Amino acid sequence: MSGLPPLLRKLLVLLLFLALQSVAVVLVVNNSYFQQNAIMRVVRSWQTKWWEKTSSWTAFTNLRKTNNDLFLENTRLRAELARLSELELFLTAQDSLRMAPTDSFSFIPARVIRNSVNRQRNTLIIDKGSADGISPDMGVISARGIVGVVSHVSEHYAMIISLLNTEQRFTAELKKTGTFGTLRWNGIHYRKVTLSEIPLHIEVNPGDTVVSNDFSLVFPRSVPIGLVLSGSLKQGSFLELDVELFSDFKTLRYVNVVSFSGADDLRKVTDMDMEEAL
Amino acid sequence: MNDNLKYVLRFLFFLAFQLLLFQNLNLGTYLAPMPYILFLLLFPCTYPTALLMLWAFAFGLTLDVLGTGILGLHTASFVVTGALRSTILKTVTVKGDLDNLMVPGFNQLGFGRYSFFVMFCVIAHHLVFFTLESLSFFLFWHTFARFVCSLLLNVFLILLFKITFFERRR
Repeated sequence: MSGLPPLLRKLLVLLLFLALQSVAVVLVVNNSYFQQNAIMRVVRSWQTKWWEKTSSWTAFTNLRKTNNDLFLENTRLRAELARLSELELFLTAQDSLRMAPTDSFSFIPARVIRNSVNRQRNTLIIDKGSADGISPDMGVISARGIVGVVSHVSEHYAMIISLLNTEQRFTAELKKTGTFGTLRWNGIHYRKVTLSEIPLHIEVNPGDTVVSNDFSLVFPRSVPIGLVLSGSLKQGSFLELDVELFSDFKTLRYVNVVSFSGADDLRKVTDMDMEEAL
Repeated sequence: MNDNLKYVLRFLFFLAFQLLLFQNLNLGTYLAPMPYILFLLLFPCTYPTALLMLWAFAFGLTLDVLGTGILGLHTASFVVTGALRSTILKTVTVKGDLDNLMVPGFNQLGFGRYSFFVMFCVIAHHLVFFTLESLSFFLFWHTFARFVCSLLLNVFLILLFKITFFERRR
């Protein structure tokens, strides 16, 4: 290359720069829209293999905290089980019209093998995939609240758009009044999210609990999410509330993927509704 | 030692440090430790820019694939650093001085000039990195704060690394 005239050499360097830079920018753009394409799937499958190895090295440090969380969740589930079996006893005793629930939520346990909290668009990788019955748009919850939504799935792994993602919005409601609003992360602190579009006439006190709702067919009803912090902000004719999350995304290790058997049926109905409205 | 072998060994060294240590170091939203930028700054002064960009591309892409986050982010910012390095080097050195220099360092440039060189390179890297990551000016001051804090941290880390591992004693 040293034999070339300097102007041509500069031009070649510039061309090389443009080529490399455009490859990089195309990668950024494709990846930030979470488009699932063939190249990404191959890369992800290599990535996940590598990540699974590294995560098993780092998993040890959080074992104590994880165990504690599991223990708490077990206790809670056992209490729930007791309550439900009592209810069932009561219902079957006066059995006349049997109303078997046809669609219900089921849970697929999974382990987080990759996680981040310090980016603007955080994602997680879990070690269960389509082979375990996971498909895109399923919700993901942990022992201490909602985690995110499955964005794409390979055979044994799934990628989740975290709640801590500035592009993702969720619906949530105030437990006390049942008013629902939009939950989104402001990209700053990993334990604080914002609940907006709460009408002004709703009385909200600091310390009120925010829970999930099942309008989006993604999460089961009333999974606790967090507490309302003091200092609500008026945005036009709506309130905007700061919410402190119960779950600490930094120590997230085990999650449950929510599978709702009636989701497809219900979506068909809502789609039809939309068409009629048009 | 063969020069290319030396570069490959450095490549692996910085990659391992970034992947196994600095990427997992959670210092909060505002501090993103990325001392791997030093990898490009260690090449000889007269090293061709085209080859420098190819090294940067290879390094950035490996880091993006093995690491977490948006694919291509490190690649884009590192290629820009590689492209601008020789210009920055020309800016901080006295005219004619460049031909006598082997590798940019404290002994050759002096502490002040070398720090400026490192700072400008990190600025080039971080400008691209944080702008691409947020892809909007929606949270301008937030992004700006991340830029400034990470800049200070990384210039410090790079100077520290340079003094500790890559400076020949006289």
